Amino acid sequence: MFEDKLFIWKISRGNRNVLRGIYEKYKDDLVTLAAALLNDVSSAEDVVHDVFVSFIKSSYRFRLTGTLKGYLATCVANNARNKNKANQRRNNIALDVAEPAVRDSNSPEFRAIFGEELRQLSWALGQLPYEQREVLLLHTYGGMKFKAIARQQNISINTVQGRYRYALDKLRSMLDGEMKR
Amino acid sequence: MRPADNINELIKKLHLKASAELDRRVHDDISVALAESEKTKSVRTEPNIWRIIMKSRTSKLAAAAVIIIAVFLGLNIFSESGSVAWAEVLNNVQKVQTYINRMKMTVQGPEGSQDVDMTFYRSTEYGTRRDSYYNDELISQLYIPAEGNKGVELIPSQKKYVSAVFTDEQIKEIAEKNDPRAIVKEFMCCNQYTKIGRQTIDGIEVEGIEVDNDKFGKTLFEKCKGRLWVAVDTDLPVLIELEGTSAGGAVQISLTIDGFDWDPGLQAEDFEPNIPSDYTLMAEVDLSGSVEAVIKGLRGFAEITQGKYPTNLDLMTTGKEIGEAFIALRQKQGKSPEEKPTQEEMENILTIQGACLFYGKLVKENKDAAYYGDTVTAQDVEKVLMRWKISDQKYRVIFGDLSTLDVSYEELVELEK
Repeated sequence: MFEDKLFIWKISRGNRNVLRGIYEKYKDDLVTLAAALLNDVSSAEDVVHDVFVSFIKSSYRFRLTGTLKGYLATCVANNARNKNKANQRRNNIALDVAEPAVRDSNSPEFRAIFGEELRQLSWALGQLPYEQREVLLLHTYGGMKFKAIARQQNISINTVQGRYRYALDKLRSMLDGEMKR
Repeated sequence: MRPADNINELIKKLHLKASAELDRRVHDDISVALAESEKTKSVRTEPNIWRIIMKSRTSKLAAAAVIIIAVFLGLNIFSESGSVAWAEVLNNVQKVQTYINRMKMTVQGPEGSQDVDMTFYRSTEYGTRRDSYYNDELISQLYIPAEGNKGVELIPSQKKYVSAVFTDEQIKEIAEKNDPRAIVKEFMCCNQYTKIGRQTIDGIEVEGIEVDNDKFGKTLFEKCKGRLWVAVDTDLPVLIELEGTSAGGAVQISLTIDGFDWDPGLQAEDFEPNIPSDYTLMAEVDLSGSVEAVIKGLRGFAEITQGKYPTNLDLMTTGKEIGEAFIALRQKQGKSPEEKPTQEEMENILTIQGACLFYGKLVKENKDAAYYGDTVTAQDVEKVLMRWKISDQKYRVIFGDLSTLDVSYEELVELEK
């Protein structure tokens, strides 16, 4: 937290070199978050790249109100959501050529990256409605409080908490079923 | 059935590594942005925060508060004594007799942000001088001699000066702070530091430590964290970063100390205040930290606040609260808040800092000090306002009415019930 404040403080004084430090600190977490939202590592990296391109451009006027990780996680979530919608639109227009909005987590790619237990989780996450998955990941993986997520998504805190609970229940149910098989 | 916590823990275990290709793309973009930033640097001007602050109705008091608080920056920031793990590294450091460094202080409070730039000149033989600037304009010069017990601060814009009395011990402590190795030692107090690795600052390879403990920076802040970066090849400090909060988090302060120039060949005349003949005395204040000075400071505060005491005895909190109280008092008196304080008022404002220095010292010396200004007022005759250990068996107590009493531990427990 302290390091993040120093990062932002230095940026505000024109030291944009610290952007490298910010990227190095959070890149893996953000790629993981984006991949968990999109179930696609390549798209996830594109999202993280887009987020940093925007962050670099706006950094000189950047003002941090929450945590830096929370801010970047929000940006990733917003970009991932847009990418998801764009993919869905393309799917509707040309089902035969467009990529699926959500790739199969049972794919060899994910199987190779995560162990079996995490692969199951990744698969189960992919089955959740996007809004629930997003809330769950922003809270658990992005470290954001429900209040911050509610503000960011312009929805009530009750809705956020509801989505979080539903997501956990569904995950639990799916993972139990998977394990019994 | 997996408990929810387990699922959360499982989610946290998900970990992908960014690819080398993504690294290259992002770092290339940053390089382009840096190159563009260099090109436009000459035409872009930084926002003048101070000018915005000066539009505030309370600006003059805010400025005064900063000046007053700034008097003591550099003093007692760090804790004392403790084992030093880097001692063997420091053995190789040559004795530095004089040095210059810069310090940038940013105070973020309810009224906005204030930046102060300072240049410190330090000499083991001649003492310490600190020049403070707002927006490149010299606003004060503080001189503290290596010997004697009086410091002087000149305030050119008002053609005034403040005379401050220190104890021999404080003067000695200020002198010891001249040795950069002392800063390193104090950062490493009690081995409560964390190594934070190496990086390059302005082309110099440095190694850093971070300190975050209850005593660190106690005189200035309620809470403080700090980082010290030392050059790998010279073992001399390159950058010191401090971040503190006060007034329950309402005031945030960032300090960046850098621009070190070792052995710059400073002379005696660099440390002589030479008060111009047309300057008049703004205030004469005893900051020696005696019990009498503490009581005087607390009394002065209570007179302005109709019986209240500072909620916390750190310099930033008291600076903020006395500024607010003074404005409220002026309004009650039907006077403009911008009207300059009288010498007596100024001395009341300044003297509370003696109490802060004294209390900070007690905390650092593990004297089991406690202060209850957030709940005790001048009307609370029998309540303990402040106490500290004066021997193995005895505590000294200052009550709400500022009377004092020495008591045993058992008696203290009764008093504090």
